[in-house]
Amino acid sequence: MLLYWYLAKGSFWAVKLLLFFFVVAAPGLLNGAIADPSTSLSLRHEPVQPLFYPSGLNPEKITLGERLFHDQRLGRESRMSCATCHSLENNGIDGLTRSMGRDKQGMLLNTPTVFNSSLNHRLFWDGRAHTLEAQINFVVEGIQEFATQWPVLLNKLKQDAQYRRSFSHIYSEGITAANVRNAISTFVRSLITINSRFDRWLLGDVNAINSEEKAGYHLFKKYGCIACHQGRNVGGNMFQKLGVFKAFFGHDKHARSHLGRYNVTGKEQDKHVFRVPSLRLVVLTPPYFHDGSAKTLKDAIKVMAEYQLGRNISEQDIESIIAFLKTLPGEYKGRVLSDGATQDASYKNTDDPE
Amino acid sequence: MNYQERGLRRWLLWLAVVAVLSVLYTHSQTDMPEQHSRITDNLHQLRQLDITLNQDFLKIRYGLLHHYDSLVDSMREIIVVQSRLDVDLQMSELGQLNEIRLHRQSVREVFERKERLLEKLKSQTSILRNSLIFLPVATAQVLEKVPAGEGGRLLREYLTSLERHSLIYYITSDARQRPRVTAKLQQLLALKSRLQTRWDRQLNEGVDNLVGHVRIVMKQKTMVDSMLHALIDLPTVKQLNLLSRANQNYYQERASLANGYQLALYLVSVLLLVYVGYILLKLSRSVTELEVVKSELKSIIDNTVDAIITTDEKGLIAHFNNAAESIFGRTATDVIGHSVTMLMSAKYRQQHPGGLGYLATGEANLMGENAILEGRRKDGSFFPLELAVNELRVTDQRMFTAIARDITARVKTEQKLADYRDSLEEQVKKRTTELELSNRELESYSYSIAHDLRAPLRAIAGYSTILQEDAGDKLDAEDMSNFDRIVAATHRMEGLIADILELGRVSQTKVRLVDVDLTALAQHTIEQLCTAGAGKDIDWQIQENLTVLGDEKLFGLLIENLLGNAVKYSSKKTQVCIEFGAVCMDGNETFFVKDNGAGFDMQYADKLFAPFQRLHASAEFEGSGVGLATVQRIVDRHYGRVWAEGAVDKGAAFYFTFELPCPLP
Repeated sequence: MLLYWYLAKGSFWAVKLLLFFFVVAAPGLLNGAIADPSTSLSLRHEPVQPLFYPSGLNPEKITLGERLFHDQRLGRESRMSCATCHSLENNGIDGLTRSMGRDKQGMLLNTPTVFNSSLNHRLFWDGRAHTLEAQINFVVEGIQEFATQWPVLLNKLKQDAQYRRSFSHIYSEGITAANVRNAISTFVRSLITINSRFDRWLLGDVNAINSEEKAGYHLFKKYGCIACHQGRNVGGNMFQKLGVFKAFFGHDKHARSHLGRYNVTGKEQDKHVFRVPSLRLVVLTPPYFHDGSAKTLKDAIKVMAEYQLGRNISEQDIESIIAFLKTLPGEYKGRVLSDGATQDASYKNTDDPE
Repeated sequence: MNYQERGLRRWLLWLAVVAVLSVLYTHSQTDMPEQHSRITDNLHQLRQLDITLNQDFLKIRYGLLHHYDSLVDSMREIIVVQSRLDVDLQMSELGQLNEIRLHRQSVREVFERKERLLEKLKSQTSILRNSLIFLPVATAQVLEKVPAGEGGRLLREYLTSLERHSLIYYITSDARQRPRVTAKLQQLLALKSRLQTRWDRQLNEGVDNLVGHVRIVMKQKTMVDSMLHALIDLPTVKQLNLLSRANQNYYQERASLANGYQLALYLVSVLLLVYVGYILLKLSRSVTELEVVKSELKSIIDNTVDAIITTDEKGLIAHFNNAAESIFGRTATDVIGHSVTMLMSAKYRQQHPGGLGYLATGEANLMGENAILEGRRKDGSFFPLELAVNELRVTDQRMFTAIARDITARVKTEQKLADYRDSLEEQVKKRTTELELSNRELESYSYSIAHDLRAPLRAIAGYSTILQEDAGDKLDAEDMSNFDRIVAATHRMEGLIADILELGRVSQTKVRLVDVDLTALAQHTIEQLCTAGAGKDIDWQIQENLTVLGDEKLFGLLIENLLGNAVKYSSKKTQVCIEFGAVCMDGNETFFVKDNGAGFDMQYADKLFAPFQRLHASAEFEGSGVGLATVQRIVDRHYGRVWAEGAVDKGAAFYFTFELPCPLP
């Protein structure tokens, strides 16, 4: 009996080991062998990758997160929401050189778009947040932004019966800081501009972009823009020093807003280092750079070519590259994002007095 | 009480066994496999992600990585998996182990370093890539503007070789290539400084730009290569393996410990089973034994001649044996469950009200001793019954067992014996009366004889004296002495008759019991003796305050006789000491008269008290031989005892006692 007992025990472990291989190891191996389904042969070597709507997002969380995103009660004295700066009607930005922030006190940096922001490897110009959840924390507690504390914020949310119902329906713990962050982040993760013309071309629709735009893409790669602005978000996955080839900042190089990542790490080598911004919606989100110093895309491209790439770029090539960049914005909720196109009634800009 | 204690102990023992089993069971169970596999799983994923990262680094090295999305995804995944690992570690006790914590910290640090290096690598690689892509273009652009002539030829040569060496350096990363590039740069810069005034602005700017890009390539290439090496050399795998091994070791320890507990659990269970089997075996055996004992006891109880009846606390009959059935004339089935009072006569039933009254009062009137009662048969007849009741405790219940015996036959026999005894006593009384009557007749007869003898004797003496006086002259001396002898003989005979009469009187006088002062009586006797001339030189030792309950006259006679005897038999001694007193002998007050006179031979002691028996010749000591007989008679009349001790010429001691306890020691 004793022997049987030991044998049974041994075989149990053998079974577990087998299960482990089948359940855990095999899918891992397969994942390694079979690459991303989007990666066709031609696509695999393109530095720009198409966007896909993320799988596995809870639609209820997205709805809840959208409501929270637009809820002014999140800010101090209930006068500011995420959408105050990241207006979805305005392509996820406020369109200002530098954001006004809370009570129009004026912030130091330009607001990047919230669209596709979940694809950025870090959040904020200096990349101080690793995740969207962390980014929300900075905004909630930031003096120039929501300037509040979680307990205060949660108290306000708990007075709303609809929130109570939604939260307790989705989350077992109900309304907590982590769950609020999770809901908003889930919503932001859903803000992916898919099905752009360029993506369609990448995925095999040869007529999705015209020859000028194709030429612009080649110039984009030839000039070396692609060295930093690559991947599915056309940037947003690395840091780079502003002023590689020659110094970008003059007498104002020690201004805090220009120090970039140095403000986070305190290392000399991180001075003037910023997260490379995504170019997905670049044609829709002027002005440009961390301080909004480039008013037009043309200016921005010129500056980039001069300071980052160390070369001159002709007007014609700039136009061509801009033509390429115009193929990048995709659709959100079935509607292509464009300059004045997001007039849908479902978005109401609560901050716009007009 | 003892039974309860044993029961309690048994329960505690079982509880302890159950506790031991449950403790062993808890220790033998472990959620380790699940957590262990999750932790192992996470570590495996981390290793996989690390491998993917390293593969991507190699792709960067050979210019095969076109975008950094995969790097970002891997890094993000690493962070997620690490936080999952932290949760799993925190949930298991593994997270509390110092060793594990240290290893976990190392893993975290090495991945953080990897991330920092990776960010740097991305930036620097981009810069390198940009310049590298532009280098041939820039060279071509400059070459287009190169003027003809000697300087132009040199410039063209420098530019092409600079481009070539730079690209070769980029491709081979050969350190020997660096000085060649540097040399070409120096040559180009020297040429430029010599000829720049002759070159147009565009050419100068183009050369400067080219030099800048070459420098960037040279600088970034070295930096990127060293960063790549540093990245690949980061001991991520080693740290992961250490953590994995620590986890494995811990799990193995836990598993072997749990195995040990399981083994112990198994052994204890087997022991318990064996023990239970043993108990069952013992139980079945003892049940058989009990059956045997029970049947033995039953047959003993059923075959005994005495009725054995068991009742409970309320007096309801629980058991009724065969003998009881026959004695009471009832069957067991009739009486069991009924009150025991149905077996009693009405008289005793009242003493047994509604069951057993003494339970409430605590008085055990029948408990533990034999009692004779009256039993009632089925037909209503009564019979004498000997009964012994005992209280029993069976577990916690009180029971009573009565052992009853029909004693009709014994009672009859006893009656017969009593009758016989009564008739015997009557006979004895009759015989005694008869004897007393004859005795009295005899005594009166002897008294009357003695009394009647005195008259003729007195006549003989009187006439002899008259004859002697009358014929005194005619008689010679011999005749005279004969006459004297006759007279003396008649006197002696008279004395004898008086003594016999005295003796008879002693026997016949009615004893009147008063407190008699023996001391006073003795003093009185001594006085009389002294007046008679005897006892004057005697040393009298009379004890004071000797009193006794008896007839005063008879005791006077007794003392007189004894003291007189003492004086008489001491008369031949010069130093005479006579003692009268009392001692305690065998718990009785014993009076004695002691002298140091002639004494007697003890072998004749029993003859001393017989009438007319003398141990000394009359010539030696006068006497009739009735004195001690009188003493004997007096003592007898008081239901006492008299005896003598003595030796020839050593004196004698006479003791008498009335068999009454000593008043004082």
